[in-house]
Amino acid sequence: MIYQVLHSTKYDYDAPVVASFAELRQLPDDVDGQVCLRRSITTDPVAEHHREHRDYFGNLAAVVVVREQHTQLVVTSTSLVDTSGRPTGFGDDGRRPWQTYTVAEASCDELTAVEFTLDSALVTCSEQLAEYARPSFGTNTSLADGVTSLCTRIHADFEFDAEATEIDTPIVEVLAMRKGVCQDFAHVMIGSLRSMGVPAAYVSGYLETLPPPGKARLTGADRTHAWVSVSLGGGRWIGIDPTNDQIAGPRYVTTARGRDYADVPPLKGVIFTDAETSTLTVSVDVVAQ
Amino acid sequence: MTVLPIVDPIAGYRPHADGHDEMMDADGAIRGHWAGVAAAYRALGTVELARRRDEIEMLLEQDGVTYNNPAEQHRQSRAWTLDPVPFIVPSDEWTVIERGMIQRAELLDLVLHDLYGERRLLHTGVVPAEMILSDPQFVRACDGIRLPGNRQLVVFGADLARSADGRWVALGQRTQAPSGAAYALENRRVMSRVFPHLFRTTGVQRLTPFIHAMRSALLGAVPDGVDDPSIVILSPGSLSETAFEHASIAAQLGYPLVQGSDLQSRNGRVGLRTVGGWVPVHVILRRVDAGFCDPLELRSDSTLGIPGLTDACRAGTVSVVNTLGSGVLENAGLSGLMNTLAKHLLGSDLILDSVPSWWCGDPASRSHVLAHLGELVVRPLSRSTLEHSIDTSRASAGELDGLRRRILARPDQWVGQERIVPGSAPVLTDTGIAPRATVLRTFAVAHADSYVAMPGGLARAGSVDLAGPITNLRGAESKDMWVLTSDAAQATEFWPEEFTPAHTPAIDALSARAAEHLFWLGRYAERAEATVRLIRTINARRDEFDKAPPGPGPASLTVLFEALTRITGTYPGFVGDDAPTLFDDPTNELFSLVVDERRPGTVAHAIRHMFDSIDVVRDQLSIDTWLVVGSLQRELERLGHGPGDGEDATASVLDALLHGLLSLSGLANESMVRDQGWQFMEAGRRIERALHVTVLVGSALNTEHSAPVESLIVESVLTAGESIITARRRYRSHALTSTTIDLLFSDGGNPRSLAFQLDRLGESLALLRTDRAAEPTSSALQLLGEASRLVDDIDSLQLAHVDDTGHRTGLDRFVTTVRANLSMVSNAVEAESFARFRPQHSMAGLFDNVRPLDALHSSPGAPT
Repeated sequence: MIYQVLHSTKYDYDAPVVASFAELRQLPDDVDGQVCLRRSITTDPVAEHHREHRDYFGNLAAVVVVREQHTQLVVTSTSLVDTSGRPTGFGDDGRRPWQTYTVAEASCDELTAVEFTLDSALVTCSEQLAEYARPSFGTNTSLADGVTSLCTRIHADFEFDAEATEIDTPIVEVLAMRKGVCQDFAHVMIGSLRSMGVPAAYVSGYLETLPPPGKARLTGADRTHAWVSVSLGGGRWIGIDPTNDQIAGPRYVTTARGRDYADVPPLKGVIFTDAETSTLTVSVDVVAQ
Repeated sequence: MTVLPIVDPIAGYRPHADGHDEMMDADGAIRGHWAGVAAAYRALGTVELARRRDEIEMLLEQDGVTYNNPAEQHRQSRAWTLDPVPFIVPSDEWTVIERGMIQRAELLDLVLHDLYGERRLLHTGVVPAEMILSDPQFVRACDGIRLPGNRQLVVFGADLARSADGRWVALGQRTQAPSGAAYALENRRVMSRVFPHLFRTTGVQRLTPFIHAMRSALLGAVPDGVDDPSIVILSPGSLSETAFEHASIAAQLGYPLVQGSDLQSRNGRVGLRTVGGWVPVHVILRRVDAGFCDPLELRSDSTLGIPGLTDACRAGTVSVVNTLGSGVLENAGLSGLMNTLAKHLLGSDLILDSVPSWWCGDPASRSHVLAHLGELVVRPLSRSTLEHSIDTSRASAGELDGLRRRILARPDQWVGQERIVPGSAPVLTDTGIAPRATVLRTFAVAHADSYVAMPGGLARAGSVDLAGPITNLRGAESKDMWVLTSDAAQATEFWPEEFTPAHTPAIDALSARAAEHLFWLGRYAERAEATVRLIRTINARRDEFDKAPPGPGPASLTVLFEALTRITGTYPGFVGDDAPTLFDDPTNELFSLVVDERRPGTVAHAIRHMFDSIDVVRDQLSIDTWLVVGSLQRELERLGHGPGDGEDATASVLDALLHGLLSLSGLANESMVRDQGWQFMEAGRRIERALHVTVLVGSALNTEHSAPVESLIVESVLTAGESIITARRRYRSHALTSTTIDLLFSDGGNPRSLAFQLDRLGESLALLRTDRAAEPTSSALQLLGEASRLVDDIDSLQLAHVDDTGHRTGLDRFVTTVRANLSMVSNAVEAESFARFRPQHSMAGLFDNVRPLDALHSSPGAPT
């Protein structure tokens, strides 16, 4: 499948902003089996400065600076991504018992295993999370079965509720409420896996949403999305989505991988203004070509 | 006259039996390298030593050496303390320390290079990955940043202590932004002045070339292709613990001291916002912890940084020294690995050992630490957690239990370290010289493809308790460290010739913030001086007419009291409902107008604000400024205790304050280069004086009084306006309202007149304008032109004319117009030159669609 992704972020302010600095992670790359054919970022007003680099986690990141005074800022990224190479299942990977994939079993050169098992800004391991994960990981369970089972359980146990959480709601609270959005589900699943010693990453990207049968596709109705990536060792990963209980296959587009949301927000920034409020409007379109 | 016998200060010196003492060996004999100095102190005796200690205290105060307590968010900084007894290091011992310092710096530089590069040390497990990856000082956003030149670690500090067997060991390292070097230089300056003879005859290695080495190290970090580099010192601000040091280093290096808001990234480069526009900056010596340096990519809650700095570093358009992320080398777990690392990376053994330590992330080390709780010192892995080291030998059973649980919960966050009781050194106490546990902070900077160490450093002595912690905040006393010269060192002067680069800093432009503070420094200094003069004048009248029956005297006083309230804006005061009571006994109100620093309009308020501005621009001012600031502060404190012995005290304090303020303006005139900064200060002073004289004449003389009363008022106005002598000479005793208006408003030859202030103000603003292509003061000049025309057209008889209701409406109108115009000039200078920055906010995240923006407030992020 080839998708065109159009991601637009609009800020409206009640007073002029004299300078906006933003760091963006919304540029797809050739990762997770996908191939990026084209990508670009534009801003309105036009950016005074724009520089891209590859971050610590290997993601493409862009720094843009708008210095023309503005009361509205629009950041638009467009890309064309061929996702047909994305995996549709575990395949031959993850067939060994799950314990052999844990950080304890990793040789010391598996820096990645350590990095993605340690606590991070928004995900702290805990006994509660381990306890939640345990029913999925029997003594002889393969990693693939354990991860799939955990994903299915989170999907069944948790209710999607955009009002229930904030970005910094601790995952123990999410675990207790059993409510949240895709970020929360991903964080809960990552925390559960890490609490078992299994290295897990947070992936930020897009998912093509299908209109209800018989309805037309609504422009801008797609969302930025987040799911989980599980380390299979040797630098290989598999994406799995607890919000939709499925492998992050060809309908997904990866933009960045980090330890949690805090490492890879699609946009973060600093502004200088006397404004007192800002209004954010995000629109995402993932259109099959 | 009795001559006090000289008391031997060393007679009672008894070092602790089981530690190493610097001066005395185990048999109670003075060590060889101490012989000369010990003999000299014996000859001086306790009384003379105490006197020298007072002299040291005075010199430090005169130089404004302070150490702020970050817990007290106030200017009340504590004085830096320096012990009159130096810490002496013989040259052969220094050679070992020096080689050890250089080796450590080289080693840590390789580690730093690797951690933000290939990370082979982590891949191969030489350094446990978890130990670094779980350290908040490992800043992932700084991955891949490379300084030009040979070294990533440019400035290096180490804390050294002598263990019981007499060997030096490293307690830890400072790599974030090592502080203390400027204090060491200041200590040396003072010691060599207080003990000139002893210092000269002892043969002590010089420290000043270290500043050249530092400058050369910063030049070594200049991005490729820059021929005329500009270098700045980034400070967290004047409230930081070590604000003195930041200003002192800046002044000694000759580079501007700036704050995050002074710098701005443009087109991917970082530059300084000056009054004339943006100028690029190439090297930033940072005294701000890395996390606070860039709110875009690092801590988003920081207002001390520059958004875009990390991006510019990554692109190599600016070099930050030490490089962002260097704090990871302060990781306590690395101490235990230094020997392994030395073998692995350098193929040699450590010259200076580290204190044996055990990182609890390793199971065997954890068991060791848990088994030895009660003996070890337990340190948090990272300094950024703000937790203190815990001496478990002094912890209660309950505390040990708590600590054990915390270690087991997050073993990777803790390091156990062998408890070192530092060796003792002689310190002057109230009862003679006594041994105190002492540690050293030593420094090295990158040079060519290696490092050079400062031949000296900062010694810090603990309190009475030998095993207690030694930190700047717990009453430790600093000592000057004297490294003795060897014959060899004297023959081949230690510092190479190349350390005298004649590099002149490229930035002579003034940061907009410094300009703003200099402007306000001028305004507040003048405001304080004028208010003091007016209150003194009033007090003189009170002395004359105290207890006098109603008559011209008391009537003129009433007018002056009302004018005082109007000029200072301290309403209701003498014009409010309580005025009649205040006229009867004005003592308390007058006292408040001098000392109440929280009340705008008072002398103390103006002086306090003047101090705040001085703090910010201290790197630009003559060092003698601190002499005056210290005495002004003392006078204010003396009065702050209450009226006490009454008006006599107030009178003498007013004299002393005036004396101090006049000294400041003298320094400004005689010791400051007439650069942009001076012109802004001058402009501030002129605007303030112009406003003051205008309002003084306007509020004291706008109503007609009987001739005797008016004559008294005129005399007081001329006195407060510092023009009475001229008036007497020129008009004999016939000074009238109209002649007063002539003298104080339109006489261009009178340095106290309105016309004179406007002329000078115009000169300053014009000079600022021609200084750069930009025209920072054009609309201020235009406004000023209008005021000057009004003054040129003054007809004093017309202004002095009294209408039917007994008022001088012409004078009133003139004063109101000029006053408004001067305020506009001041506002125009501010708007045109100081380019006020808008509040900083974080961009809203995905979850808050509409939200209020809360401005971020500054947080001190000063490293120590």
